[in-house]
Amino acid sequence: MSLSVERASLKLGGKAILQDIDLQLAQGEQVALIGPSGAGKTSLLGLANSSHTPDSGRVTVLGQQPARLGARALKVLRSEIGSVYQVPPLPGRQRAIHAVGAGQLARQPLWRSLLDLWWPAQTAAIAACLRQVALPEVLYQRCGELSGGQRQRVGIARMLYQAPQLLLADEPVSALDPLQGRQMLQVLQDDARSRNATLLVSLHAVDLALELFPRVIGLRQGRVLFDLPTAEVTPALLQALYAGDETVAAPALDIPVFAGSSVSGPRC
Amino acid sequence: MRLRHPPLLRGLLQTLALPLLLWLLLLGSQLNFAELFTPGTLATLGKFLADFFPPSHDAFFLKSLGEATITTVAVANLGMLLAFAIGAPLALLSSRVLLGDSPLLLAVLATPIRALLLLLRGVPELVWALLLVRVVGLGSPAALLALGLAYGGMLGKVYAEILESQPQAPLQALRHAGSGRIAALVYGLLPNALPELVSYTVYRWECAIRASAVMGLVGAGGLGQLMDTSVRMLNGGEVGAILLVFMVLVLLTEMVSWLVRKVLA
Repeated sequence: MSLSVERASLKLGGKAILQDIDLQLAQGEQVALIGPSGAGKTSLLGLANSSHTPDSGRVTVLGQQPARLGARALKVLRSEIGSVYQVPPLPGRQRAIHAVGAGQLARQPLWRSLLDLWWPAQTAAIAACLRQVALPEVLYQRCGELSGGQRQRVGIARMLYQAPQLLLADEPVSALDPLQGRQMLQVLQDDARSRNATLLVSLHAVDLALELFPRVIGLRQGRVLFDLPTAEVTPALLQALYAGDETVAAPALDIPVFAGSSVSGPRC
Repeated sequence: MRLRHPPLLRGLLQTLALPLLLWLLLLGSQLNFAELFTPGTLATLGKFLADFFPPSHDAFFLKSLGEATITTVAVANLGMLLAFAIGAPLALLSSRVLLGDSPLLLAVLATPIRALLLLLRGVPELVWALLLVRVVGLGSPAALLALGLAYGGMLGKVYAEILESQPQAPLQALRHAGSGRIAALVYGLLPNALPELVSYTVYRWECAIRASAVMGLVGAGGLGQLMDTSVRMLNGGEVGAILLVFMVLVLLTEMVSWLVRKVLA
């Protein structure tokens, strides 16, 4: 089992975010996570990448429970968990080559990481990852000079460079147009498939989830509403999932609220 | 959730607090503007200024002026180096950025180090110099150590604040992917923090040049000590020459720091 969540609940700031979550992802499986805003998709991915610890229940990642590991073992485990964030956490002044290169920080000694800033040893491999997300030209550009969509793709390139066993992506294509979004999801899927890694992607675009993923999990108000093979996801289920959420009318036109904002948005 | 405009009364109080504070400070400083402009004061001032020109330029004086200038610049630069060597590690060891949120580490490391930084910067560099002159004797080593200690305290505090004020998401993301603390700091925070860190360091360096000159007044060598001698001997020409050198020095440092900031921006 690549990711196993058993009766897990999570509270953040006294508010119940996730309740009694149960789900199992086998090694190599590819799953889409859908649900209205505020359903807890990001928090669930946070449980999976060990940035959140469940208040009750159990989360097992790649056969280990992050909450029970010591610092060193946790680092080793985390080096096999890759995360793509909806708002790419890339410093604006950082050049793309280092932003992507940071994907290997956990696996190389500190002196190597520091030396890389002056004398990057893996330029070719990093450039290859940027080519995969169709951004070969930005290698030496600063992240702050890139568009929101480009930054999102640099974030994906970082995970490709990390090459983890468990790939988690939180709305990885929210700043991309539908065509590019589909391409990037396929890049993630191809990468996961080629290494038999597990892929869990939260998506606002329901059509992409249904089209590209064999299994879909619907999350509503912190609970799993359904967890089904895509063929069994009915319009009625989707309607129940998004009941009361007017944004579902045009899921493909989802506009990222923070990606382009200079005030509360990322520095990159 | 309630959206509320900040109450008018609070805003008004905040606006009025500053002028009130300034007025109280003015009272406290016992400054008497009228006294500055009495005929006696103006005449003394005028004669003193008149003596500045022409500045002294005999070979003997110029030689000691040159030596004092070199001493002052050297003390400022080495003092900054020492301050950096003290401030940078202490900043890291006292900040959440490196220690994380572990209450134990914060209590054992951060709190004592923050107290140490407060002690270092709480004592002005001039007072450090006065004390150190008693310990290591007259001359530039006292000034160098004084600068290193006082500015080390300032750099340590401000570096920590700059690092903690950066968006922490990039650092957290790297930590959650298994990166070590230092690597995550260098890749996640430093790129954005660097301009601010360098800009503050360069500003402190400007201050160090000035401070290094002033510290001579308590016997710690350099331009200040020369100035002290000249003022005591009522040699206006020498004072003028020293001030001239001093202004050129400050102008040069400002040009250098302007250049550094421009390159970084």
